[in-house]
Amino acid sequence: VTDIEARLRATLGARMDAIEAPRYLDERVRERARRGHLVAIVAATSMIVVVVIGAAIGLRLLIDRAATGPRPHPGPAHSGYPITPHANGRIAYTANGDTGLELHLVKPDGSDDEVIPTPSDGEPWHVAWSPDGSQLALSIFPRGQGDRAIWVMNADGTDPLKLAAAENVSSPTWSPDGAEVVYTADTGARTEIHRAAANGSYDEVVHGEEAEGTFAIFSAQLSPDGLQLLFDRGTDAGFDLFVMSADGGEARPLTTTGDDYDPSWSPDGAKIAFGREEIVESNGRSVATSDIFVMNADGTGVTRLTDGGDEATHYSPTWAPDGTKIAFVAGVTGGPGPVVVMNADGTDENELIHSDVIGVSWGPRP
Amino acid sequence: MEVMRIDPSKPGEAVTPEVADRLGALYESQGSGAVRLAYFLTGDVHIAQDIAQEAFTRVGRKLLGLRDPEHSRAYLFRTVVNLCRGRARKQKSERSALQALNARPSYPGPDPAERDEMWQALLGLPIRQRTALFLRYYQDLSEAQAAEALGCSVGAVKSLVNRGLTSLRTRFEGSVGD
Repeated sequence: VTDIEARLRATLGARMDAIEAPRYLDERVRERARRGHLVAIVAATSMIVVVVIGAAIGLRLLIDRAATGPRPHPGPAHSGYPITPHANGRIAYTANGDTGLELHLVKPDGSDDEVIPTPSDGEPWHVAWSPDGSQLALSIFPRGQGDRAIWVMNADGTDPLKLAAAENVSSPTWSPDGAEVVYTADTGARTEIHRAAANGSYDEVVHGEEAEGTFAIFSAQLSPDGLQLLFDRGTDAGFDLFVMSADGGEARPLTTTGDDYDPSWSPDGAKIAFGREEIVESNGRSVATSDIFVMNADGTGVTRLTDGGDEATHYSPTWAPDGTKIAFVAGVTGGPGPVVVMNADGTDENELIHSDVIGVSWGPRP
Repeated sequence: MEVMRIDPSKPGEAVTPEVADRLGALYESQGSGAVRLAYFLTGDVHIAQDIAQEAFTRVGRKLLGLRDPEHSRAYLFRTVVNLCRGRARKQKSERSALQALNARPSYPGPDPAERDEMWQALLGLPIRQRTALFLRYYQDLSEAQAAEALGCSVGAVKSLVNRGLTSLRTRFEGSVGD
């Protein structure tokens, strides 16, 4: 036994022996277990009702289909959307305001910053521009307990539509044609990637699995040609980036470091920007930092774009629609921070938005 | 004594008062270990208590169904680790604490020794290294038992422990043995 092992044992013993499971938890565990029993009965009953109703609906659909022929798949079959260049429009961001998180729109030069009203009683956390620059998709988190939801609305905040809700939802993204919103949802131990019609007419699960905690899928985004889904998810090593067919199927890892998250396709589909966490030694402590990196869409050619130092938590890279620049949140020690805009090669960083920003999306000029 | 097997998928066989009592007894025997592991991983005793409670209520019935106490302990510890990581992940999705599990603990504790160097160094280790050290050097589990609790191979446990000890040695180079 080495000195360090002896010291480790002594420290753990001294710290841990002082921590006891409080007695009152015993009763709380029993009580919750009993309640869980009731919930299980209700859930089983509900499931039977759902199965009966589902069977009736399925039978009706079969009868309808026999009469009218098969309905077209909601997602149009295609061999890839054409990639069309867009001029840069306004930047949407969510930031701490007087009453909690607020949604803002601002021109790329930092002028004409305005607050946009958001739906429901919650706070807007993540935002994404539609490809034509006319609409915004939002994740809205409740101020207290309750499900988190995905909403779509016009860029001025009018005509809000709630698309989905779950225990946890990711930042939403759009399909290249603007017809669908892609998001991930976690409920209990299940994590899923959804493609929902932006008009609320359908919501398809393209991938689902039992994986909770850090093993869940964090976010998902269709490639600019609409053929692939890019997502980040937890692994034994931490979290990494993967791609799969746009309709689901087998996932292929793009990175295996265990440190990569928040991927974002470049507008031409050739590159992927992402956040990479790194453990560095700082003043005798190991601290986790995060910077922005970019790589080719096949996972090769990983290149560092930012180096924010020991306290940097750079995340949420978002490409300018013309592909020449990348904006990201320059968070500090894990918290929110300003939005910084840089050239796509990492040069010429400029702080654009000086608020405590949580989410950011760069829209096209409508 | 063979423990009665309970199928969690059959609500009718779920928690009767008698089973709830057995669950409580299981909590009494293994609750402290779960809270201590969660405390080591989160650095916050209140959060640790919540996580331990959540772990028991999520998998308690499944634990009662396991015949081997060693398996139930491994399963419980794995659940605690996942819940701790899940909590960090949720914070990450909220962009409020990306490095929560690698950061300074939010609960310094009343004991001045709480802030000693070794404790701080341990809390700075990645979560899986920390878990491996807890299982091997506090719970005194074998490498095989730790591997089951971590859901990985024995080789991976050796690697995690080795990397954790190497970090500590590097950190205390010059002070070890003083």
